[in-house]
Amino acid sequence: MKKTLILILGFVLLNTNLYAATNILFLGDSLSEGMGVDEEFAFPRLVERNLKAKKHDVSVTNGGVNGATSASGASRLKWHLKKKTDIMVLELGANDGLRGLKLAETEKNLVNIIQIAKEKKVKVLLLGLMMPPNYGKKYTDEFEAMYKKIAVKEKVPLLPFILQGVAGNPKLNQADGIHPNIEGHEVIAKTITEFVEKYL
Amino acid sequence: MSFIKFFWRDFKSDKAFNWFYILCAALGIIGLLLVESFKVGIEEKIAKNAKNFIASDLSVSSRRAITPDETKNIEDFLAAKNYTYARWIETYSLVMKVTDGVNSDPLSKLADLNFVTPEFPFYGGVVLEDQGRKGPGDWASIHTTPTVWMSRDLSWELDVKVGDKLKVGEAEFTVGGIILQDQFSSFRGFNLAPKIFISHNFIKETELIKFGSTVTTSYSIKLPSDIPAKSVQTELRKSVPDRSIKIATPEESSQQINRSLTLLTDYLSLITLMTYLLSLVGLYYFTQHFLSKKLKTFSIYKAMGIKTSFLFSVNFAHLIVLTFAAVIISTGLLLTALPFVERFFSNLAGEELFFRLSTLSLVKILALSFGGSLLALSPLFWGAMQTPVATIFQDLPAQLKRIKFYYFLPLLLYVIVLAVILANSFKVGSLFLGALGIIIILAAILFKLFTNFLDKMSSRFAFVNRHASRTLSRYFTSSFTIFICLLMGMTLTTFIFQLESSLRQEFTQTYGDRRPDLFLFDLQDSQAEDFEKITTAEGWNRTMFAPMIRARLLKINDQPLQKEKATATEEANFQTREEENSERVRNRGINLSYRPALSWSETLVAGKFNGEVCDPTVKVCEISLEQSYARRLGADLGDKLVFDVSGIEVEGIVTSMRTVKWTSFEPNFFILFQPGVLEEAPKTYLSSIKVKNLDEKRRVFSKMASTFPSVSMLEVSELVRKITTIFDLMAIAIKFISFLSLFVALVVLVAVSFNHLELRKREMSLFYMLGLKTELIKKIYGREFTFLISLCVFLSLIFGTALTWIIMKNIFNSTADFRLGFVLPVVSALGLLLLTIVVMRINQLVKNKNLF
Repeated sequence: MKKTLILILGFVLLNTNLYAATNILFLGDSLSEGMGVDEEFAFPRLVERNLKAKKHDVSVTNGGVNGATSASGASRLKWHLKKKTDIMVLELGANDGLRGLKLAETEKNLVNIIQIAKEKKVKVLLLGLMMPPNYGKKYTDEFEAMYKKIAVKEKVPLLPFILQGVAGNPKLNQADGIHPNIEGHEVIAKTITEFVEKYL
Repeated sequence: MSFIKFFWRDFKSDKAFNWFYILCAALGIIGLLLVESFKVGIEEKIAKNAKNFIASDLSVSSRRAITPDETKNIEDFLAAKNYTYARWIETYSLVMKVTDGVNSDPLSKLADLNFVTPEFPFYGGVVLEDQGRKGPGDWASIHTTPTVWMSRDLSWELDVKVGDKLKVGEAEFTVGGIILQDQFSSFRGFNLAPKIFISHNFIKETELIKFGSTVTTSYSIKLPSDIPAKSVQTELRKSVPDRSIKIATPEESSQQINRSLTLLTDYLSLITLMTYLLSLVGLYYFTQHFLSKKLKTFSIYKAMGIKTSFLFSVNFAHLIVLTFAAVIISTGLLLTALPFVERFFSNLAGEELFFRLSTLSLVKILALSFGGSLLALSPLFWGAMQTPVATIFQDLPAQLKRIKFYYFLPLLLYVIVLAVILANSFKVGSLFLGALGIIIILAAILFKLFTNFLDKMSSRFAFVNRHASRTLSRYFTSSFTIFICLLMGMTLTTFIFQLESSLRQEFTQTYGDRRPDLFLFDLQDSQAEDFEKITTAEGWNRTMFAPMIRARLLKINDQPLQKEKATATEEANFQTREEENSERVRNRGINLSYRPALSWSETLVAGKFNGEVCDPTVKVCEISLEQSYARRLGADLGDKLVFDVSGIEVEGIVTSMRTVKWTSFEPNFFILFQPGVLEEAPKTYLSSIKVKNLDEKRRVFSKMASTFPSVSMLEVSELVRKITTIFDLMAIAIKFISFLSLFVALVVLVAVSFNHLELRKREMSLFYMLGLKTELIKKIYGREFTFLISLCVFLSLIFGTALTWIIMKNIFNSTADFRLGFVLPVVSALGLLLLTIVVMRINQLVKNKNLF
């Protein structure tokens, strides 16, 4: 009887949040998913590796889905929130922009995702993106401004551009010129690690 | 007597044989030439289409920015060779209609911008509304003033017409034309957005191309007609070694369509090979008959001191001359008829078709024809030459020396090589010949059982039946030889017609009303219900609506799939394409779906599909895998697969395998779960719509854009139309070749039967001498053939059907359309016709009474 009680107590303690790692969810698109590279070399997994190397007890869930737009974010987040989540790193909107969708709609979707996370007491970190110049000055400017606007409005930390130093560099991108290669993911992971570490 | 004199005298004395030989051989060769000419024509047509796709003879393209050094290398190379080229820059951007300022928020839409230099295009063109086709040399108007040509879909979406202003980047352009048809493909695969063509002269004004822009830069190169694109490609690659810059020949640019066409033309070749084999069987029998009549003559010649080798040379030369005549006649006939054949089929198909014969293909076919005839018939001639001199003292007709089977080994080897060459695949060729081999073995066993049974039962039969049955069992070898020839002829006929029907079914008939015009993707869960309501209210023909869940395969049977870091960072070195495919499948994220039943385009090939709702908390639910995907993955029935669905592990057991009809244009979900497992998972929906007409298409565009602005639409009707036209052509070709084969089969079967009767003439005479009435003699032989032909009709239906099933399943990954309702009457009629001709011949033989 004693043994059983000890076992149950041990099981309960192991499962309690008190001792659990910080669970970080990357809710994103093909950039997070690591399209064209193995998942273990996609930046969410590399961020986990970097943070662990810095003695942070974290566990990362890669919620990147190739081709995902902001419209799918809310339902995907609800699915992920079935699991304990402490931080959500939101990386969505690129596909909306590349498909030329209306930015008001994208903004509404992103705000909705953030609010759902906040309701569940999940800390939100927003990753900003930019559109390539070929999408026209007006659209690219508005797209960049959208993230700043959301960050201010929802009071969430923003990393203005996650592809800083990667975009446009052929050595860090795959042949499609859009998706980073393994080396590109390393650069992105370094930038994001520094950003996330501040809010752990 | 000189060789030539001797030869000529011998040659003249066999007129009937000469003509029949030439007819039989010419039919086989015509079949081969006809299919070859169609193949060459189709290849030319594809090459022409492919040149239209890239507007040139060779293209250099890159989705990353081409560095100044690389640009210099490419342009220096082209300048040194004096090749003309056009620049073609493709990018996506938002464009909007320029309004008078009253509307504060003008509608902007994504467009696929194509900036081209004045040399563009070298091939192909666009069709503009009210302005007709704009091919090479007709594009001047867009280069002189800021004008654009835009796709009709985009003009609908932006509500613009010719003469309106459009803002592209920072520049304004006048709409100069609305594109109705566009022959060029996109270097980006599927077009996410409708196209606009703009002159490269105005690229600067748009201010769209800067550092960081996602642009596909390409060079369209025109080569002199005598310079092969492949050699330029190899040479240019030396100056531009980075493989991320693609250097593609036209054929490489349209590989997907080519793949299906190649498969079909190879199959046509295989069917022609069968026709050719049939005609070879006919030739063999007829030559055997001819030689058996000449055996005594050979003996007399030998008695006169003429050497065997001399006799063989004369007869071999006879064979060569006849084959040569058949070749000349068939080639001459076909070359003369080709323009008419071309016109006839073009009219029939409603599409410009080419029937061409290249010198190489002509030489190839003629060499094959010669080879086959000589290898098949030389052993016969050799055997005939071995007839002993003493034969001339016999009263009875001389018997042809039995030829050892190994004399035919070179022919067997030749046929295998021929099958592989013609089918362009070792698998296809060997599978076909292997199946034929198994059929022959099975037929031998069945015939043995059949004749044994008849022999045992014969005592209960009346005289005619008894004699006919005993003849079959007691002269087993000769009976089996004719049986196997008749059976093969009928089996191939059954096979060809069922294959033709199956392929036509596959390509044309069933799916015509289901082929989609629009693909819609990224429909959200929350929009599914509203979308359902709108499609019902608007009366749209929604051909497909499927949930799509993104996942990553983690384990097969508890074995993780992730690669080692070392191999991931190094460039993969795969030995075969299959290995590469297999590795790619294992690395890639995949889309899962679920549904309660298989769709109309899917066929269950193994296991049992379970569409019932499953509770994953109670048991491991079931998975259905697409067969070729399972093969690449190395998964089988009973295997357990574990997926990562947005961070949560979901497992399933493979309980069924499916094939998906590749001509259905339906998205192919490799993995289907039982309902009940993935409903809660984040998902989007994929849908397709078939529209009735342009108006409806316009309404769908407009309604979807206003109701679901985040849903993306792809217009696929033009692509579907291009491919289905080609399928229709192939179906016609298959049908044509099938009828040719039927005709050849009949000629061959008659030849085989006549020859068999010739060999039985002595027996007939004996019966006559023994006092049997001619009516009874006729009955005996008529009955024997009735037994043989009935058994052949029956078995050919089984074997032909099995062969169709094997080929359709293993090569086309599809199901066979068993048209027994059509094939049974055709083969029965063939049997009946054959029997009638044979009975007529028996009557003739018996009537003459000159049977010796």
